Amino acid sequence: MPNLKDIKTRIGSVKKTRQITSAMKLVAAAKLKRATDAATAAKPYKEKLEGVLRRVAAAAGDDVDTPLLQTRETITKRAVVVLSSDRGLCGGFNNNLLRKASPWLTEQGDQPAHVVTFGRKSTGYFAKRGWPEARNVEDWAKLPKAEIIGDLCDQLVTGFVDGEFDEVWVVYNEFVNAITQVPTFMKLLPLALEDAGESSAPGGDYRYEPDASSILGTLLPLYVRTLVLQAFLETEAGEHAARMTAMDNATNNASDLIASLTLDYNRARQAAITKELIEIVSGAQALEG
Amino acid sequence: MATSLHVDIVTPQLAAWSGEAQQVLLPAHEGQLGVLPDHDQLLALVVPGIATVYTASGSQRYVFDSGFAEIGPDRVTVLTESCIPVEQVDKAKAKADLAAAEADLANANLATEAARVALRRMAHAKARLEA
Repeated sequence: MPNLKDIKTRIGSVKKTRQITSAMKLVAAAKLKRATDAATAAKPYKEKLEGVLRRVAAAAGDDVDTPLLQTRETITKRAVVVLSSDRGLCGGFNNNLLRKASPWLTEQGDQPAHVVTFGRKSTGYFAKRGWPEARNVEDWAKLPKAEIIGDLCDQLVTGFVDGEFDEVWVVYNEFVNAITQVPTFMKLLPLALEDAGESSAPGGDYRYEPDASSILGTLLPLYVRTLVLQAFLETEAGEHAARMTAMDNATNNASDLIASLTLDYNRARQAAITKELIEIVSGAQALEG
Repeated sequence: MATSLHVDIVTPQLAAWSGEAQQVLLPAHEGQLGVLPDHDQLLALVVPGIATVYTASGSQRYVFDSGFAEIGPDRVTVLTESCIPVEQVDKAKAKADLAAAEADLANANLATEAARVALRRMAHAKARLEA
């Protein structure tokens, strides 16, 4: 029979946990809102850039000689960027991604990939598994995004063009909606421009300054940046969404636990009262008899 | 006959500025490019430099990073990696960035992409210092 006081203490502690989880849920919801707003704000740039790229690519025709679009015949060296969160308590957000990424990385041939990790969670994961460490960035959510993405993309593009890597991949959680995030492997370089839908109507008769193929050469690195920025924004939104869901579940579980503990407590209290009554009654009977 | 230009300046993070203007001066690949209403349709590369937007109430100068401008008879859309109003430029940071880019350039082989990236960064830092 559990002691009344023990149950009461337990209820108190679960209540405190519930307070924390529900506060975290609210914070995550507010941050999710901000993250999705940032993603919405980034959209016009991406759409505009895609539209212009398509038009410029169509105008440049076969006269395209930019290394960013060329697929290499033998692929031995890969660069992989893994985006995860810095903090835990967000359900399976990081684990789902890392558990898929790890076998995928092993499959990609025998050459160890050049891995750049973002977020403490993936850093720890790869370090524990003895992955050759390349570069880790922790607490990335606090850094100015334009800067880290600018630096990262300059490195990736430079490495790719100068032959340091043959392919560049980005591994991140795609933000589908607030309850679904899908681990995604995106091939960043060489760029696949066809995916952007080259068939769309060319918009008007433009002059180009300088010619279309040099514009293309300059715009492609910018396009790489927007793709990476989008991956970052989706990771951020996904993290907050996952935390919100996880904390919502935790709050519900705590409420259930409190309900069942309260029931136990009342049962124990009643049992104690009944026991005392029986003792009194039987004591009185013993005196009478 | 258009009498004013609708200008949108868009960066990856946000729409930096949007409104009507009389004239726009852009740092283009072939030199400063002045755009007045009724300009020919043009797609121009924007290089790191200082842009000026002239509106009815005055003018505002911005430091642009590389990007491009889509110009039509009644509108100008500029997409640039960053757009900072000149008053908000952090000179100390620009100086540090310039030094870092110069160091990168000194170490890089001039034929490589690394050198091109360093040159672009240098140009952006210089533009910020000039602002």
